[in-house]
Amino acid sequence: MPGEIVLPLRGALLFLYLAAAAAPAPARGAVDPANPDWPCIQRKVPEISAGMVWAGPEVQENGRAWKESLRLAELTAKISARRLPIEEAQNEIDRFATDLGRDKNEQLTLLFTGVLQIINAERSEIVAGIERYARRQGALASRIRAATAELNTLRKKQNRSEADAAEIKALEERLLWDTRVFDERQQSLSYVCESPVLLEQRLFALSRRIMSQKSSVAQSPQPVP
Amino acid sequence: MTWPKIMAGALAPLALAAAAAFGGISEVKAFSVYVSNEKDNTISVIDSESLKVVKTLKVGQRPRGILLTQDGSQLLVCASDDDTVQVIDVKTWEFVKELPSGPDPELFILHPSGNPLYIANEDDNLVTVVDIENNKVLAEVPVGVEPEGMGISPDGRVLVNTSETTNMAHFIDTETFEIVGNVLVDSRPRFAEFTADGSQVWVTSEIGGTVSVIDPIAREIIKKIGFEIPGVRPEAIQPVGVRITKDGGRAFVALGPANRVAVVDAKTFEVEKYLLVGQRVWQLAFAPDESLLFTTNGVSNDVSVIDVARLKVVKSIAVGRFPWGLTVSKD
Repeated sequence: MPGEIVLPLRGALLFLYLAAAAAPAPARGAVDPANPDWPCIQRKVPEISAGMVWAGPEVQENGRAWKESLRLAELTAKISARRLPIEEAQNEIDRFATDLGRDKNEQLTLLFTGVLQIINAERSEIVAGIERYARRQGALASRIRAATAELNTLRKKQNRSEADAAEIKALEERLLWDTRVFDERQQSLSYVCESPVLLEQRLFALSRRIMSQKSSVAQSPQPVP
Repeated sequence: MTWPKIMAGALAPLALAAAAAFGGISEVKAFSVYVSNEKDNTISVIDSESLKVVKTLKVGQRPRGILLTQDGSQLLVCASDDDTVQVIDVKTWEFVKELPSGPDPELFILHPSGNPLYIANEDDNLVTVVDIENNKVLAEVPVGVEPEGMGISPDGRVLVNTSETTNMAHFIDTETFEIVGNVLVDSRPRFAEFTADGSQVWVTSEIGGTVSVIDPIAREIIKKIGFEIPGVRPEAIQPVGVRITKDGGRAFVALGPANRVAVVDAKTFEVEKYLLVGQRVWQLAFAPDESLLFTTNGVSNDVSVIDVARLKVVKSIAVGRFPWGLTVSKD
C-alpha cells in the first residue's frame, strides 16, 4: 500500500514542521521578542525612515510638496518603480539635477521625499503580506498537528471499523497535501523575506545618487565598480 | 570632479598626518583589506592605495568570520555552512589546509600570541579552541545558546564569548577553559571588544540596541550606552561590530540597519556623531595606523571608508553580495 511507504518519511517531515511551527521563528538566529511571529531572519523594521538613508537636510517625511510639481511627481514615480533598472533611474536623477537652478537642493530633497514615500508604501504592503504568510503557516501547522493526533488515536484503536479505515485514509491524504503545501511555503520563506530588502536597496541607491547631486552635501559618495 | 580626484585630495592630508605620526617616516605602507561576502561565497581583496577590489577569491559556503594569522601570511575564514575554517596563503592564494572548527563556525579570535584560535560554534553552543599549527582541538567549552561575539584580553588570559539567545557575556579562563563568570547584557549580544589596556570590554546588543561597557575584573557593567538618531526608528538601531582606538579615546559602533556608525567618546561614553555609511553596516576594521576605518555593509553590498581624523565617509567600494566580516593586513 503506497501509504505505508510514504508514512515514515511523512512522520519525519512532520516532526520537523511541527518543531518549526510550534515556535514560529526565523530560519536562523534568535527570535525578536517584540515580534515573535515575524518569520524572517531580518529583524522586522516596519518602515524605512529618512535618517536611515539620508544625510542631507531635514526632510518632511509626510510632506506632499513633491506632488505639486508635475515633473517631480512623474520622475518620482518613474525612478521608484522596480521595473526601471537602477542604472537608468540613477541617470534620470543626474539629468534632473543638471537642469536645476538655484533651488537645486530643495528640489532634490523633494525628489528624495517622494521616493521615500512611494517605496515605503510598497514595502509596507510587502511586510504586511509576510505577516499574513506567517499567520497562514501557523494555522496550517495547527491543522497538521490536530490531524496527526487524530490519526494516531485512530491507529491505536482496537477493532477498527470500516468507517475508521476510511477516516484514516482521508486523514493521511489530507496530511500529505497539507505537509506538501507547508513545505513549499517554508522553502519560499527566504525568498519572500528578501522582498523588503530589495526595496531597501533600491531606496538607498537612489538616495545616495540624489545626495551626490546636492551641491552642499558631499556625504555620500558613489560606489566604484 | 571625479571621485579619484576627490579621494586624492581627501587622502593627501591623511598620508601626511600619518607620516608625521610615525615620526618622519616618509610614506604610509600599503596594506590590504579582506572582506568575506556571505552570499557570494567569496573574499574581496581591497588594495589600500587604489581603494579598489584587486582580487576576488572563491571560498567555502557562507564565509563570515575572517582573520589574518599574526605574521600576516595566512588568511583564516569561517566557512559557516561547510562547518570548517579554511586557511589560505595570501601570497599564492592557495588553500593550505582546513582547521577542525566544530559545526557552524561564525566568529573567531586568535590568542594575542598568535595561537590558539577560539571559534564560536553558533549551532552547537560551544566555543572550540584549536591549535592552528598542528590542527588539534584543544578544548570545547560549552557556553550559552547561539554563541557569537568573541573578545580576548590583551594579556590573553580571558576570553569573552557572547551568546545571542542567553543574552550573556561569558568570561572564560584561557588556561583552564572554564567559564569563570557571566554578565547579563541586553538582548542578542553580538560582539565583544577589549580596550587595548584591557580595563574594559565592550559588548554590543543587537536587539537591545545598546553597548554594555564591562569591567572584566569585577565583571560588572560600568556603563550602558544607548543610541538615538533623529529620523531613525529605535528598532532600526542594532549595534553589531565595535572597534576602539588603541589610545582608548574613541569607539566606533556599527548600527546595522540604521546604516550608521556611531562615534563614541570612549572616556565620557557620549556619542559624538552618527556617520551614514551603507546599508546594514555589520563589522568594522581599522587601517594599521588607524587613519581609516572600513565597514562592511551587508545590504548595499559595499565597504565604506571612514576618515577617522575628520570623521567623514570618504568612499564606498562595491564588493560581493552580503559583505559580512573584514580584516586588514599590517602591510
